[in-house]
Amino acid sequence: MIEIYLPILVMVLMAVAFAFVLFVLSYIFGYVKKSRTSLKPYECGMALLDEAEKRVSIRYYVVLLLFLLFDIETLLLFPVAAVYKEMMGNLEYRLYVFLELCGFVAILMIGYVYIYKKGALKWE
Amino acid sequence: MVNILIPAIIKIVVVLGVLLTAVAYTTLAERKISAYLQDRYGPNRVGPFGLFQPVADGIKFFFKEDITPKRVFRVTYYLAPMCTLIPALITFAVIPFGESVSLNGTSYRLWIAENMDLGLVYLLAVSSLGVYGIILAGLSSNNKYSLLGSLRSVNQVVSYEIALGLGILPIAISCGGFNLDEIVRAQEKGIWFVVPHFVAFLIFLVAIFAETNRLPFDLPEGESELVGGYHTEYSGLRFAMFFMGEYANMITASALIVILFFGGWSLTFIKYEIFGSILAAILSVLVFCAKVAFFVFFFIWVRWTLPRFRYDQVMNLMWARLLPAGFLYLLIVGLFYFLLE
Repeated sequence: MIEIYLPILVMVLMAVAFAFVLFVLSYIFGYVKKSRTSLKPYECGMALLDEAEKRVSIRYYVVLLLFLLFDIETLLLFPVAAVYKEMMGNLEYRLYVFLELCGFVAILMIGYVYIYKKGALKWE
Repeated sequence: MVNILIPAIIKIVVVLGVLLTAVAYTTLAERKISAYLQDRYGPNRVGPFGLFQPVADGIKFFFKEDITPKRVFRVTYYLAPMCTLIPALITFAVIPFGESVSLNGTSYRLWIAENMDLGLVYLLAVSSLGVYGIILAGLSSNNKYSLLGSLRSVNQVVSYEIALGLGILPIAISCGGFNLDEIVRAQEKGIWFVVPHFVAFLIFLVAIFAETNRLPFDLPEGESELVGGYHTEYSGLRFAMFFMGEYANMITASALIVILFFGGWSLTFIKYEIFGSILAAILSVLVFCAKVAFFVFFFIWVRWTLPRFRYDQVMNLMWARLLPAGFLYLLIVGLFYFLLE
């Protein structure tokens, strides 16, 4: 059973080897001129103004948090999707399964509406 | 062990070779098609119709100055291009690309990870690993353009991953699983999923454009604002690795669209059984490649037709439109199968 994953392991090893070979090749062939300016951070033609350690908008952080939440919710739906059609053939449970799906999505949507009304997703 | 390993290695070498060649020629196609759309000639000096241009580009990348700017954080700076390239190459492992072929009485499937039931889950998982390359590149470059580009990119890729999942779920419900081969078989018998699942197709298409950072979602690179986005500070082969990763992702995305919604290698009216096994396999691979090529063309076509979104529009499209639409469509599919019995 486990050996169906063997080709994937081989492919990962090959891809890693390929990336590493490219890396080494650029180290060997890349022509290096020890120039002063090309070692500075890039800036559009003018003298460098400031470093990169700036404050960034808190929005990015909020969206990443929300992503964690919603992505886990969709992941929880994956096993449901895999068995859903099969469960619909089962007369005893089919109503239960369907209502369960609706309930799950409904709870999710309540949270979503709350977030939306709070303005967590507003970008200005 | 060995009788699994040897065909697998042959398949992997062939697939990686074809994929990398396709990546090289997609860059040429991009430049040629953009040229024709803008009434220009495009590259036409190297070889007939510029056909050797990708080779020349590749050689050029080898000998470019290999810059490591002074104040970057070296470990992650070197790791980032690899982190983008490796997931882009290994996603192709679960994509079946043709009918099985029997040689000397043994049947070989044209699929690297044969019979993997969790193919779609693997695809989602691995393609989201590509985010690490972007985030590492942005954080370690010590350049504000890189940082802003990677922040935008991570936020966008990560948000649209939810939409990607929501586009896949209805298909999984219809097929009862995540096995990509079974998804193709289900469409071979009936109708291509693009017809019954058109809403899912639209959600998936928009999400996959955003995932691959292609225009109209190319804000991470938005060259008029951010120079080059997260790979501003990279040069030579390291830049080429980002580039190859991006184009490989685009080809895998096209293959995924074809498999999920356009029947994979199947042609609805022609059954491959009427040909011999070997001829059928060759034909099916050709059909698959043609469909993928069409969607790669579609990606390029869209890029040179539409303008770029504003960032708040990108986020709004995802969180205020695609997310509720996706969940609603999921419920509709659920209701449909509930009422079907």
